[in-house]
Amino acid sequence: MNARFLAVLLVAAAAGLAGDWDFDHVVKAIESHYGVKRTHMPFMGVANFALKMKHPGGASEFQLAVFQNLDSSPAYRDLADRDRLMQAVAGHGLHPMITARSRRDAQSTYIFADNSGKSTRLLIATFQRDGATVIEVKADGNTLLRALADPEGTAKSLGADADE
Amino acid sequence: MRLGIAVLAAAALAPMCAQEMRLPANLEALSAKAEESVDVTLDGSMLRLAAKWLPDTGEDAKAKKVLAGLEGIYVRSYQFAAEDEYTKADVDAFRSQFQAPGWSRIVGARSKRHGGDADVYIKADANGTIGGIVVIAAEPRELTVVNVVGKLDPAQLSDLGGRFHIPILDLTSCNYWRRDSK
Repeated sequence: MNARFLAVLLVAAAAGLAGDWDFDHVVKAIESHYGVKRTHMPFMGVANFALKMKHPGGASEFQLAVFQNLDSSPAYRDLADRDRLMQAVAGHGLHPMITARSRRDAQSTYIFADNSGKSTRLLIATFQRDGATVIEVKADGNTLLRALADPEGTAKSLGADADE
Repeated sequence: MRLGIAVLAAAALAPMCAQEMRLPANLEALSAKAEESVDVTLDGSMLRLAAKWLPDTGEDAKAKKVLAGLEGIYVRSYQFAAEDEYTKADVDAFRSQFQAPGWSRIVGARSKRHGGDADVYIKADANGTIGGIVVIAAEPRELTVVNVVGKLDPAQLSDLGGRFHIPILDLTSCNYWRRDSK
């Protein structure tokens, strides 16, 4: 009985950690591919706490990584290379939902969804001229619908604007 | 997206064919040439989730009803800075997939004035049940391919127009031009 209880606990814990693992996986893939480290964000813990209280944009359980000076990597300007990188990080429960690219603005937005648990997690990676942001949020349905209708606008509303 | 020709089309896929369309490599490669491009990949679980959150009133209610029978929506949309960035052969290679048995082209619109083509293909099973629709809208500076997999009536396609980056289609009165998005 104890073993069964322990197994249930482990499964529940693994489900809870899956989102973190996806986020870390994507962040590490970007760091490794472009040879940069994410920018340290002071007061990130405070921002997370505020988000849990207010749920701006219908999002909660927010994780954010910001990258700067990505254009120091020659590969960064290659949008096809960027596509391949983001396709490679899919899987592990992350399903690519929307990709929007703008060569004119040198921007691309990738939205992945994980609908395997009780809630939907969205992982949004936005690449701009010299920086990128990766955000993972637990999204409500309205956020999901907004992301479907306006991926770039939703990414910005959640704080994915590395150039600002 | 703002360019004129519109169109849509649709193809139905029998349940056994209910799967994401395969774009030839030459079409997938267009994203590297396009000034703007959008890929949408929504499987059944995501559609059901989206439907759950749509209001039960007005146009949303119609879309919600349509989504209930769908297994997937896949959209590839490319906008180019100039004309001739893709060739007719690029699109013809994709169209050839729908010459297989079971597929029917229900719309084929050609506009010399706008320089655009629009095709809608459906695939139905032996009972006449439509399993999906494929729409190919090719304009001089824009190419959009939509694949809706699942049970739907072609007339219901317009209920999905303007959502999920599907162009708004007017399949009535032989008017297949794209209208402005909602």
